[in-house]
Amino acid sequence: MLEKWNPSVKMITVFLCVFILTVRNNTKLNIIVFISFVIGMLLFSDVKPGKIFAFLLPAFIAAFGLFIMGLFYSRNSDISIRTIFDISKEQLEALTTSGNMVTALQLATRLLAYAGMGILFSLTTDGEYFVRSLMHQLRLPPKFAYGILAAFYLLPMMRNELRTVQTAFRVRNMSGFSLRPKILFTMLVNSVRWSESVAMAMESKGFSGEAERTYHDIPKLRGMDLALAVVSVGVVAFIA
Amino acid sequence: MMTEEKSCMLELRDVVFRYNPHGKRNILDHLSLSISDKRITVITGRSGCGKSTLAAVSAGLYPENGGILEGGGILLYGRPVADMNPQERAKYLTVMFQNPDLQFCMRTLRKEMEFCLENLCIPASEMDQMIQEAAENLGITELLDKPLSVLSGGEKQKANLACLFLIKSNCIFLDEPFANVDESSALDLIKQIEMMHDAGFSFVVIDHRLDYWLPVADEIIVLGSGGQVLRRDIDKKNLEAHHDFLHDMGLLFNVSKRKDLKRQIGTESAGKTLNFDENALTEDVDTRDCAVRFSKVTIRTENTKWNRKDTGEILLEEADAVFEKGKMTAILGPSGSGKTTALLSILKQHSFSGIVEVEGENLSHCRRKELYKKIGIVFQNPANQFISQNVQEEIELSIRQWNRNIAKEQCSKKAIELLAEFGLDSYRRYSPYMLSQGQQRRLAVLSVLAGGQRILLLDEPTYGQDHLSTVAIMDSVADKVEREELTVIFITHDRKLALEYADCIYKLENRKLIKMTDAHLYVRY
Amino acid sequence: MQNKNEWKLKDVLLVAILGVLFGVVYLGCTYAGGFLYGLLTPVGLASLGYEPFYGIYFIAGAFGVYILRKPGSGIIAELLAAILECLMGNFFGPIIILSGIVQGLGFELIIMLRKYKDFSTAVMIASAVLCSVFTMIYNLIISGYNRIAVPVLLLMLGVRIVSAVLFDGLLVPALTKGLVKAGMLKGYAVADAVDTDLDELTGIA
Repeated sequence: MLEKWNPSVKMITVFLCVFILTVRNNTKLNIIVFISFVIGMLLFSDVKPGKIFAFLLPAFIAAFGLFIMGLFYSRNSDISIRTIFDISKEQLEALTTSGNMVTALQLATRLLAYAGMGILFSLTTDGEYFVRSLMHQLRLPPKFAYGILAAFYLLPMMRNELRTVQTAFRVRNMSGFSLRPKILFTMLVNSVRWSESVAMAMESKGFSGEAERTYHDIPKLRGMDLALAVVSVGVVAFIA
Repeated sequence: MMTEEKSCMLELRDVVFRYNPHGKRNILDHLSLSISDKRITVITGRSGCGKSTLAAVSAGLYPENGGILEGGGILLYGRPVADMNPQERAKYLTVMFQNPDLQFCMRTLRKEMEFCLENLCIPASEMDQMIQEAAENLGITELLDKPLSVLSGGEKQKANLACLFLIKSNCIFLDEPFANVDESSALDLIKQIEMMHDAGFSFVVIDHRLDYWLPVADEIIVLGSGGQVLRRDIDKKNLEAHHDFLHDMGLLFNVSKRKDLKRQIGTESAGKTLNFDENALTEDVDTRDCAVRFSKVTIRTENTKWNRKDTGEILLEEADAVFEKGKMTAILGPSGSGKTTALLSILKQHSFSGIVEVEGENLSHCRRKELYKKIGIVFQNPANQFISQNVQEEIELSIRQWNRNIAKEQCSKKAIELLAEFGLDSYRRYSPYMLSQGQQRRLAVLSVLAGGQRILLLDEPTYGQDHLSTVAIMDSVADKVEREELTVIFITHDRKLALEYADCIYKLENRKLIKMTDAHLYVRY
Repeated sequence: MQNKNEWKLKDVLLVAILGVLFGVVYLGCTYAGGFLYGLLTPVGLASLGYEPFYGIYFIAGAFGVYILRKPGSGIIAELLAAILECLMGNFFGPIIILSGIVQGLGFELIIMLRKYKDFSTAVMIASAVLCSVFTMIYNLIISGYNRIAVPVLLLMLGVRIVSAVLFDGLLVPALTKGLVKAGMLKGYAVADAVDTDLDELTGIA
């Protein structure tokens, strides 16, 4: 069901929720939003729990990092600690009730709430459906929409090509680190060639980006899409 | 304009075209050419004669996407191309390009076909049926819903042809359609093209592989530099009269052109073969004469899944092979069969089980740095392996990479010598990317051999260049093999190339690496 | 012939492909970033771990505006790259698009004020710095960094600026000039501006 939610509406819903969370800055709200988005995903989508976990893991790691940062380096901090290893018992007690703790939790839970929304979007939205929806609902010009799709579908080839370039450098006894300007340069040369070839192939098939065209599928905007958006934003706003 | 003959499909009048706005060299220099409708016309010529440019200019893709049309006009069925937008042009002329990886913008063939029909403003309700019919007509229904990225080069070109079939433009321009395709796929494609020709499509084909086209071409046109028409009206009936001309142009591809073939190939030897016992192969050769040796080597595709149990698909199973020192060995096989991966395993860039020995040393005990002193590789696309922006510097860097203490003058002297040996000394100050594909490959070979490497791996040396350029590179490599005892292992899908240059041929098919005897080679596989 | 400010399909594709390319490169760097992140977590400076690579975030936008030199090219390039990053799967999902707009705007502002005519080193460095400042303001609001101690923020901003200047202010122009010299960008605005004295070389090749 979440897969069918119109991607543009879904995206705007996420933006509105981000806006509310940013303004309210409330730990409880963040946690409720995070949990409800994850539960929503488990109940109303076909996404496998394992996949959700795989996406959540880096989010939790990032949140933990922010948590420690908030704990140690809050603005107007009342406690000063330098590393995790030299926290004394008294400090720990003081910490749990300090303003630092409040900030740390705010920061970490806010990131988690964003991640909950982001993961829900990423895992329940088909890329092509999203771009089509941007084209039909948010007026992204076809030239850009199909350009994005073409580049996206080149991804497997580009990854292989990057790997080949890195291997070529390694077998000449040089580092294959992808940020080496020489490796980037080779990939840029490829990118320029690819963009010209793909553009010509698309134009040769009659695509101009300006002329009128028909569409096999047009993502529709149904009442359900808007209702779901209103409910989601409404609930978040209400709790807030 | 309206007096055009109806049968004239494409007419170029005094066309002057160049890439560099301020340059002096015109790629097409006052080219005039007209091509008739309803035929298969093959345009051929040496690399750099402007063949591919001709395709893009005819379709109006240039100067729109690059270059300057200095003068002249291009008419499609009597209408100037410049006055049409891509949508209108597609009704008359579509182009299929040589790189099958760069022709699609959608995920699957079905989606791509929908994209084509959308461009032509076909009502959505008619699309599904049109796609189904076209796919059935061409016998490619099983390709419709597979991701295009997993198709082989041949399948991609087939898919592409199906899109153009669906667009139903009067004429289809094929720009080296077989550059990335193995022999059996190429023959398949030609069948599909013949069928479409019978259905009323005209074809203009740009290719240097005349052997593929002779049986079906109505006319062959040979272009010289600047796109000048050297000869036309050649077909299979009057071919003999043009034989010497085509031969001198390097446009005929004959086996056993090299006189000094070490291995006897001939019809008589095909009958009484040496009959290698495949199991005894590895014991045949003394370890000291062996540059690379495989014992029970199994190679799988890289394990990308998190799931530990999924160990990847097997590409090569328990292979035994010997690549002799100072010889050229070919590995034949269809594209996508894992040939390149086998080379990467020799370079310790892909994991394997079993034992690989390089010059008698077990690879698993060999440090990478030591290994790369002995062995180098030239990839399919040599532009991927340049490390500098200047030809001479490219070689100097390679020399210095392996001889840290070499004096500056000595280093550049050696670089210039090497470049001269490969006929590249006049391009010393150029960026490697400005060279032609053939020159790039020669430069790549030089730069991997500049450190004194004894073993050279070549990945598809025919890729993206004409036959004469391939011959040039293979000849210079063969010379080095003879004079300096270089060992060469090259992989290719081109059986003729393997026959012409290899002292020994392996075939990789169905996960097995089989040493081919002369008898094998003469049986069509 | 055509309106110079109009986007051709190949312009769109170039920018989109660069977006994918640097998306892949950035992903590769997150391993290195992750290592630093782990190292810095115990001292409470985890987020600093990703800062050295921050400049790669808006490298597609920098290339877009430097090569195409059209009004809006930086913002549009960043927007395309952000949409692609979202398609490639990311735990921030469409929120990436918001930051993409901020980055594009931050990078293009000074170039816009110079009327897309001045792409000197100074302008590129200034753009990289301004872009870093814009993204930090975005972080203050959206990520809640306004609750973090100022010295820590300054340290992060400092590393971010260094990264942005290196990658976007210096590397982008250098690589692009290399491409022009190799004859790869004929017909793009940058090729007309950089130099044409290589004509003789390209003419023979």
